[in-house]
Amino acid sequence: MMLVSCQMVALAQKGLHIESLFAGKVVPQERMVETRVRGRSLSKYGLTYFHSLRFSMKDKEQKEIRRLLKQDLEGRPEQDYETSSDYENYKVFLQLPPQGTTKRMLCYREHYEQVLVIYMEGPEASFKTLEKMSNK
Amino acid sequence: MNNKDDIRILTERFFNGDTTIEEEKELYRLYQGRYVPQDLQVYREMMLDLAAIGVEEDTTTVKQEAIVIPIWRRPLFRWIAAVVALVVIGGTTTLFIHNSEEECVAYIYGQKVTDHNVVMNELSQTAMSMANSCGDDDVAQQLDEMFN
Repeated sequence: MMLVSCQMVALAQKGLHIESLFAGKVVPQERMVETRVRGRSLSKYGLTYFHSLRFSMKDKEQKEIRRLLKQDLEGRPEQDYETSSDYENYKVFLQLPPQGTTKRMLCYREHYEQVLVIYMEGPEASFKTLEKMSNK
Repeated sequence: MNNKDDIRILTERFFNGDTTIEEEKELYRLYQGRYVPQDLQVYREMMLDLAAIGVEEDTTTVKQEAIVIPIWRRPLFRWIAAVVALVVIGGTTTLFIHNSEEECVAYIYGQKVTDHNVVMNELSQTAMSMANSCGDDDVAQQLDEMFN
């Protein structure tokens, strides 16, 4: 039971290519602001896990991140993700297959070189949850 | 060595405090006998008293040993030990699971921060930035329709 709990903590984004970004393998963690919250602090939002990254990327890193995102979108039904791109922004919203009652969502946003990535899990994980969390 | 020599040597060793338990028993036995030298007769009564005390102590010890059961072999102790073990194991497991399910941490440019308010503020800011990024177009509505 303890072993299973440990594995669950360590591998929340397991199965996603973008996992290597969360693991600090694409952009060094010294250049990021990483937030990781799990448990009671999120219960009011209907989430069980929230993991975010905020950083400024370099061109080489951008290519690698986009490659990982592309791999994560490949083969998924169109209704499971939304992408948008223009001169200033590049956005990806991906709804991952739920694990039981736990919904999983990956949000990615580039604004010039500024990047924001959010992975969240929970019975109410959705875009609306982000609005609720930001007290909009 | 005859009994007279034995009793003399053992008596001397006894008063020097050098005798073993077995030697003392032997000494008491010798004093109970008929061949106690005249000069040692003054000790005879004392030795007989000590012999009597020694027998009583032996008997009491035997009786006590027959009655006393080590505490760890008593059924009540075993039950208590089992309950304590269960509580400790259960508590440790619960604590571990609780800790593994609770996390609130931020790494701000490599610096670990565990202040709940700081972490939750960062979380709120991040969520706001993401939510705002779709505020000017109809993507937000599309996402809500898609994922709900």
